[in-house]
Amino acid sequence: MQLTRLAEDYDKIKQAGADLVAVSVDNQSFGWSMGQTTGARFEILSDPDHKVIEDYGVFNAHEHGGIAFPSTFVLDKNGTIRFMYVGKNPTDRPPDTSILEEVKKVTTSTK
Amino acid sequence: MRHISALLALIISCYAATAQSPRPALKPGDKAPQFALLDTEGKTVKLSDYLARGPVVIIFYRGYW
Repeated sequence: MQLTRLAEDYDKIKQAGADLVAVSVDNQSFGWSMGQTTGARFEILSDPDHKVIEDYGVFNAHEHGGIAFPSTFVLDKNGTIRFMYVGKNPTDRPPDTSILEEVKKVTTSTK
Repeated sequence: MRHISALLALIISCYAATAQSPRPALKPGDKAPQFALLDTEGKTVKLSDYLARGPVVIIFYRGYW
């Protein structure tokens, strides 16, 4: 489960000087129970109308009535996308180590 | 005959509308779209709040079904 692994890597991302936020179509209470289950200390945001998911171009309309493709965006402090990985299917994800590497690149270059 | 071709055109245009992908994907170097969403406590969280503090990683996950 991606969020469980992220919960473990969250400290490293924070130490590198960035923050992390998770978004899905799940409703708020589900997000809350996800946080409990995975031990996530980052915020889990609810996008039930998948508006933001569509804005980011990662909406998968063909599964479960519409969910997000698993995706990662690393933004610098100006809000510019410096790295992105969009999964081609519901299980295609970047390794968390590569996310951390990308975060380090962004935080060291914008300090 | 004219009705049939009009119907056919309608069917084709409906199919084309559903088959196309919604919008062009973002790419590195683009500005990330702003958002304001509710967190698990019902509080509104904005991307700009995060960016005010530094770089941000946004994870979209499929949902837990």
